[in-house]
Amino acid sequence: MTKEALKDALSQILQSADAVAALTTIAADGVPTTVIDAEFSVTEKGTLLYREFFEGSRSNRDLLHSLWFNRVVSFAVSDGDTRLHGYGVPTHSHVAGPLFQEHYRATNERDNSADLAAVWEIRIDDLEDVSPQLLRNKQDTQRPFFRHLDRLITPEA
Amino acid sequence: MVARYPEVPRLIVIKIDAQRRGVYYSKEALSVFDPLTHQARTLALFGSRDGEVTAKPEALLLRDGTSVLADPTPPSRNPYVVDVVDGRLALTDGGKVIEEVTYWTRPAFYGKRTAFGTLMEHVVTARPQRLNVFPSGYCHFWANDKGCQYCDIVNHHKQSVKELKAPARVRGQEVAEVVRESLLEKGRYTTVCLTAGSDTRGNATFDTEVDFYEEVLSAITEVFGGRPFPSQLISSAFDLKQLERLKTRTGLMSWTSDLEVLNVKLFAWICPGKEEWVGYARWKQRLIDSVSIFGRGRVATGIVGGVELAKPNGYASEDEALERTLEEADWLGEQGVSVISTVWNPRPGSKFKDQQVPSLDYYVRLARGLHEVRVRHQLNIDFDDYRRCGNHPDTDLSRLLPGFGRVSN
Repeated sequence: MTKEALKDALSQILQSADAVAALTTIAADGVPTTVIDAEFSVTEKGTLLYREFFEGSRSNRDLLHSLWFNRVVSFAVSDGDTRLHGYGVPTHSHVAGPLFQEHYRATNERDNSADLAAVWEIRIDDLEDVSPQLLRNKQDTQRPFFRHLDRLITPEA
Repeated sequence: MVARYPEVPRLIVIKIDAQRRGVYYSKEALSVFDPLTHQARTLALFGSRDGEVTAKPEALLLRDGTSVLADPTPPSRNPYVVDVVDGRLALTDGGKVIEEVTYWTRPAFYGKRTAFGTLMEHVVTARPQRLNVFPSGYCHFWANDKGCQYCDIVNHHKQSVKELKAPARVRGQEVAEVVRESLLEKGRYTTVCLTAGSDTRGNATFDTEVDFYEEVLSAITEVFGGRPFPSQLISSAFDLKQLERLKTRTGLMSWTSDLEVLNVKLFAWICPGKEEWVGYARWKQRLIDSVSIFGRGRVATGIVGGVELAKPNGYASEDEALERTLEEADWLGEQGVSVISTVWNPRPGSKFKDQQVPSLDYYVRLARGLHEVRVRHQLNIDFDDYRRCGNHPDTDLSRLLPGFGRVSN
């Protein structure tokens, strides 16, 4: 898939009811943290938005550290069929203003007990289709030595 | 500068320098400023370096959510220029784009009137996520010409009352009405900050000031069902009895009382009114005592970063000023009191109007040093951080702190 097609696929997956998504951040001391059930959306300009619900969370601090010091965070999404993996640098922390308030209202409409800390905007530097069947085909073709022999054996006549 | 201090974020260095040098809005920047969409300057306790109270942009936001409360400053004083470059608002220096910026969004309650007919922004003002209640801009230290030397509060107050037709004082009931109205805008505000000029009157010194804060805080507390709510009072150095009154009768959650400069002799010179009515040692002791009421991480004292170098009595070198200031901040931190700093702006309405501010290097080291004090003594500064306030470079750095002594996820 082209870069644009991948971004379209990312957007479609995130709109799917079956979507699962995760965000992995890295702290200043190198310790990684993964958020499961991450809430992402894709903007018209092709950046990724991530809703952070806890201001004191590791992920919120790590995202800030990445924004301040130009370090990447990674993310993965799946709708059950297609899996995408990507990484990029957080460029904006929306903590006030129209965009933040729009996401705040949406969060509240879905769950009135939820508060919203920030909407992080992440520039997508790389996006890759890592769907299992695609990876299998690719590996079998390009890295044939990685297969176990028992998978290649033909049944005795 | 960014290369010299790689552990200090570039955006915070830019913020510090913009606050140090001020900003000038180009015609293009003002042409995209819409007072119906963006927040214009309105009532404030203090003035600006250009001495005007006209409807300019209130302040700026950086990409990381950091506020830049930079004074509008005449071009002759070498400010940064806020300009439009390639269709986007940017902070520029010498024609070079330094960083993208945005204007603050106008609060939804601005332009509305209270039941008393007062413009709501003349009762309560706002920052991106904070409500400001500045009930009086008169400081009684000025009565016998003992106002703080860097401060223009009374001169600016007179100018605001005259030019903006602002009320000289507000009522608690009216404040509560505006707070309630402001909260109809969902997701905007995270705290309420009260501050005003010192009022020395009363049976005990400052009792009248305490009475007034109690009236306003009690009225706001009712909005929150009588419960404590995220709030900060920046006041004179009240005694324990006065603080207990506020803590038990209102929903106040934190207290700040500004020493302004961390040196006994400089305090007496720069803040003669504070020296006359309380004194440096007693002011510090009251801060320390208040930790028993509000708790560690809920008490702070502000300093006007840089006035310790004011001439002729200030420190002779930046190195000495920094060393002595951080020593005192560390001692206060050990007692549970955070020291927070602002960047000094010599304003035309103050006695220090012709003074020079220290170097950017000094302010970067001061911010880093005060942040390190909090790390060393495990002091949170949640009530006065980038979001609850936005005017302290040192508390911007503390955004990366974990929640000391509390549940941290």
